[in-house]
Amino acid sequence: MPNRILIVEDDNSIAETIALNLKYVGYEYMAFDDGAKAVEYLAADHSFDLALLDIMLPGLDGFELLSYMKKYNIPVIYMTAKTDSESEVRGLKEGAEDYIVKPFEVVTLLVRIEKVLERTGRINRVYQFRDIVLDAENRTLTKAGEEINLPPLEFDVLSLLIRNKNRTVSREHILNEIWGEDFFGDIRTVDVRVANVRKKLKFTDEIRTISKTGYRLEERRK
Amino acid sequence: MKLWKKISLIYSIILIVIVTVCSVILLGQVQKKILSVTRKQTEDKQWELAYSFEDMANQNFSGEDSEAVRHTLVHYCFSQYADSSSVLMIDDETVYSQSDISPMEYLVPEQQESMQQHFFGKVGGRYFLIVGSTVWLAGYADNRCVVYVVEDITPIYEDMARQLLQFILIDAVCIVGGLLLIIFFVRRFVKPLTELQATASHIAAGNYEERAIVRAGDEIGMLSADFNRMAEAVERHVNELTETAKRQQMFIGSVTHEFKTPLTALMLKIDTLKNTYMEEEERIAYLSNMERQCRWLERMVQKLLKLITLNQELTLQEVSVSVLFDQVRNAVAESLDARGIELLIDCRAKSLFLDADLMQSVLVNLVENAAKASKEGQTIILAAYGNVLEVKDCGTGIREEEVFHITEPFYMVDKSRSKKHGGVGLGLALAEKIVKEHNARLEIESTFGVGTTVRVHLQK
Repeated sequence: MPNRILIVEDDNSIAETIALNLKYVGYEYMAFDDGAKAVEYLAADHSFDLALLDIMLPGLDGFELLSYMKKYNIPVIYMTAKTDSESEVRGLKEGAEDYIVKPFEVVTLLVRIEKVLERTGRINRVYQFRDIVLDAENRTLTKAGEEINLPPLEFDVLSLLIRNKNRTVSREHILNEIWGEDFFGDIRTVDVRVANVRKKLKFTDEIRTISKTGYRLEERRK
Repeated sequence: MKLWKKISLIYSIILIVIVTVCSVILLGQVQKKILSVTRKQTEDKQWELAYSFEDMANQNFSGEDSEAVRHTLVHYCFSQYADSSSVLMIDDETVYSQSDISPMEYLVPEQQESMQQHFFGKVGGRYFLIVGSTVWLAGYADNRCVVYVVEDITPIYEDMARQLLQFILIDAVCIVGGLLLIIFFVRRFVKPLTELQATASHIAAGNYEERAIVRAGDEIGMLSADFNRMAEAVERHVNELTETAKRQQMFIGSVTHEFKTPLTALMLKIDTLKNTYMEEEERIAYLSNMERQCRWLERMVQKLLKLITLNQELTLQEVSVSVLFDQVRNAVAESLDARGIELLIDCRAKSLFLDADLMQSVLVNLVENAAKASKEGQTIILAAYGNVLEVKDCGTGIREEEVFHITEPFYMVDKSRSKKHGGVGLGLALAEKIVKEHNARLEIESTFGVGTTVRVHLQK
């Protein structure tokens, strides 16, 4: 079951873009441009794993929404243009899980979402891509029901690509996530591992090399 | 040196000089008088003595008296009148004297020859006045007889010295008392100035609401009153500046916010385009969306620029209102048709004095706002009468608490709807500014749920 995310953001353009990115990497979402409308909807359906809340909202503002999120036990990440630390402190003190300041990068948002889901134990660790099922919890991988054994580093690389499917993942990001920020080795280590994954899973087309950037696992819609 | 010290010092010097000069003159006069009286008394005394003695002696001479008899007689007669100061000399020889002073020693030779003799001077630490005159004695017709009075006037000098001392004492008391009075009064006069100075330094430190106390109608009082007027002007100007700065700060804050949101959206979209696999149509839709957003930003920049730089001279002209209204109708026709809203023109004014281009943009803006508030099938009235231009709609109206805000930059009554229609929230702010540049007044009358009427009151 993919994780479900609630978006409350009054700028439609921002909301749509976030939604699109969430959809691509495999999350489900609901988006509202009004705090009061979101609360109305929550009364009937509140099976969300996470809420992305703007602070300045029509209807009910982000801080007012927090109590409803607590009531339904939904962890909250605030996203706002307010850079003053006062609202940050207030937001975190009152029980928001995290805080992200506009303008932000999509990758940052995705990483934070993942971290919060992980921390609150809501993350769905079983990912699907075509006929591949990757269970990050038990570290198993099957392709068309058949188990495939990958060395741990290659498993992690594939896991990262699946978690960010349809998105370009930069070499630096892969290196930081898997080898850690303290790793001083050659960045080509990443290329070697990706090449291995590609070969073992026969993902010649699916794992695309994006020149000068990194790799992307593409789910082509025919 | 402080003012009160300076004034006190000058007054003190003047006081001391005057008191001293007066005292010296007065004392001099008094002492001169005393001396002349003493001299007169001594002269009288001497004259009486000389006369009485001469008279008595001449009555008693018989003509054939021996030397010894004459001597005794003269001695006897003189002693009848003499006192401790009397001296009788015959041919430079002292016949009778109780004084230890010999007058001859002090009289200069020429004086000794004259009928009247005077000496006045200091002898051995004491002051003496010697007065003498010759007498004619029958028994000593060939001799030169002189009667002297040798008066010791030291006590008078002592008196005078005491007098001087008293004067000095009195002067000192007067001067000290005068000084105290001068300092007291000068400080009292200077006090309002000191207070004024304290007030001024408080105001300079930023307490603009502080005022000086006006005590009297004199020059200092007038100065304080003027000072207060100045402080009021300063306070007013400072408040105005603070208010302006605050408004600008808020304006910049809103501008920042208004730019940040669309920029965030654009950056997110660029990020997504860069990093996400997308189908062709999807990507084109995405790019058109971004283009729209960029145009919106561009429009906002244009309007902002207009709002900021609208300080140039207006070109005021006699403009035909019906022509102006036709232009407005042309400008809004398309968007009104699209919404199915009718524009009714009611022109009861011939011509007005205004900047046609700018006023047209104001009216277009007002009509478009009215259209946004109206539903399909409703009518907007654009009217002119007297010096008033009026845009009236029967739309949603504005809540009372919002009417004051709607001319603020970026204020939108219904933000999500306005944005959907491409509004940037600067139209009314710009309209108000243009109206103000015309020295005209923008009046907004609205009842929630009934409709809004906006009037531009132009000057006659």
